Amino acid sequence: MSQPKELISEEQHGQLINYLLGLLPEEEAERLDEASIVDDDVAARLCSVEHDLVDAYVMETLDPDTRGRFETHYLTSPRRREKVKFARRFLTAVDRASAPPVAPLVVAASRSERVRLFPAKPDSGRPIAVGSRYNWPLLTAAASVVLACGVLVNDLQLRQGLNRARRLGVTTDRRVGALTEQLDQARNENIEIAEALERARAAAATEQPAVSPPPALSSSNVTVASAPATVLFPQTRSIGQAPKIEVAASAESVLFELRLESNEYPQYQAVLKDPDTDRIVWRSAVVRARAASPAFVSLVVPADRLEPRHYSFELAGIDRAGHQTTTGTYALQIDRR
Amino acid sequence: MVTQELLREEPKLTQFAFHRLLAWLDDGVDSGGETYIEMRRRLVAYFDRRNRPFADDLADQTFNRISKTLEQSGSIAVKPPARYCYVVARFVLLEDIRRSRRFVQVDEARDAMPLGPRPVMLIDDRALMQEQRLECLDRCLNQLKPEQRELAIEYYRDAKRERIERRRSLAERLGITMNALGVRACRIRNALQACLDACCKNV
Repeated sequence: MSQPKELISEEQHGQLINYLLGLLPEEEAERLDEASIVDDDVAARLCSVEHDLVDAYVMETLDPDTRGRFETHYLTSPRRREKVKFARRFLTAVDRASAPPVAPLVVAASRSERVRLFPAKPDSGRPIAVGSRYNWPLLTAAASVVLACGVLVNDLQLRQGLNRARRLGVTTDRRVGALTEQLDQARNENIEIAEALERARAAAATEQPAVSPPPALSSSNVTVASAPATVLFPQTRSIGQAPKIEVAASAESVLFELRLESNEYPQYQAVLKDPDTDRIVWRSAVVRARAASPAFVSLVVPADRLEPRHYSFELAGIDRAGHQTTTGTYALQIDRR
Repeated sequence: MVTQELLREEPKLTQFAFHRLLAWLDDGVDSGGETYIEMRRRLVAYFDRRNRPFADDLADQTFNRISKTLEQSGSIAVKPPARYCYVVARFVLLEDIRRSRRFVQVDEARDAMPLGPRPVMLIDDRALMQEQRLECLDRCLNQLKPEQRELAIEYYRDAKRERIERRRSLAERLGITMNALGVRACRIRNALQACLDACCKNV
């Protein structure tokens, strides 16, 4: 079989799309039937156009008419449905393989109601004053910080492991992916610990106003340990301005936590949209919510996708049958510095 | 069942007949079986686009008939071989449509039968299955040569304009046309899907 010829025109492209969607007159469809088997050029173009069509459906970038036709015609065949399923997995793997490494370099401009960041607060470094033999709030805080330090060590080990794996090159890509996931998990745990620490501190301040944490528990440690995450809350009519999130120029990715009003679905998928054009700028893998109360969906978005403008996350819950239902929209504004 | 009918009608090829078919498809250039694989893919896609439920069987039936002709006549005058494949495939398609009309009442009756409660798959099972499939896909990706893997990832990244731009620069980097790049990417993706199917069957 010969190699195909040069570039495909817009018209040919449209014709192949119509052929795949069963929109061509019978005579023309038969001509393409024959060409798709006999002509290497057409066969190759058709293969390419079909893959792109399926990908566009999976990425939800088809216009409504094409999407409707895709669903009523293309998806009627089990074999073609398999192609769509494969595309979902394949694009997830491609996203994962092409995602840049995660670096916790996000800073929010303000702590609004819908955006909370979790770097540890700067501490005054006040001297310790042990008020009683069993100071439970302080002990709780200490335990939290010890845990945080443990996670810090774990985090650092994971980073080192991650760097080593990267150096090993392509053959170890899979391991890098696994380590990245663990790192994300560790960061999530850090966030929880930082929250617990804050709560414990608040409790300690209420009960023992004179007591300060010991130097070993100083917040500088926690600052390193806790990875900053941006928590977004679902948009409601009462909420006005979108929270402003400042992303450092050197940041490679940004960790977002989308808070769920209720965790009703086994899996979720989010898309980041430019609300002006409705263009999808990024799509997450299919993920599970963090089973906490309240529940969150954690997302790591490559920083190079974030320009200084307004965005919105659209979060969809995926039920057992694979159907997606939008569960919330999360508006935000990005600032780059 | 229509499939059973097909299998009864067309016995499997002998090894000798299969090699003769491969040689005829190669048309003088030894492709090491690649031409056969590609032609089978095209035939299956053709039958599937024509909404035939057993596209694989029909593709095999097409090859069986060609093989029978080769056995009886020694050669086939129609060139290139792909054109003859289409001619035979069209007959196979029309016959299958006619046959399905004969069987439609039986099939409809079978489809209308109550199926009873479908087994419920637990969320954990589904998640596990999905996890296994993704692992399979990773395994298949890792089986590719590094340059193939890189090509697949680069080619299928992003969407719309970004995707086109990325492909353009990738073609430039590789010193090939966009179409040649598309052909390579398609082959890799088709091979990956086949690998994933095989892997999932073994899981």
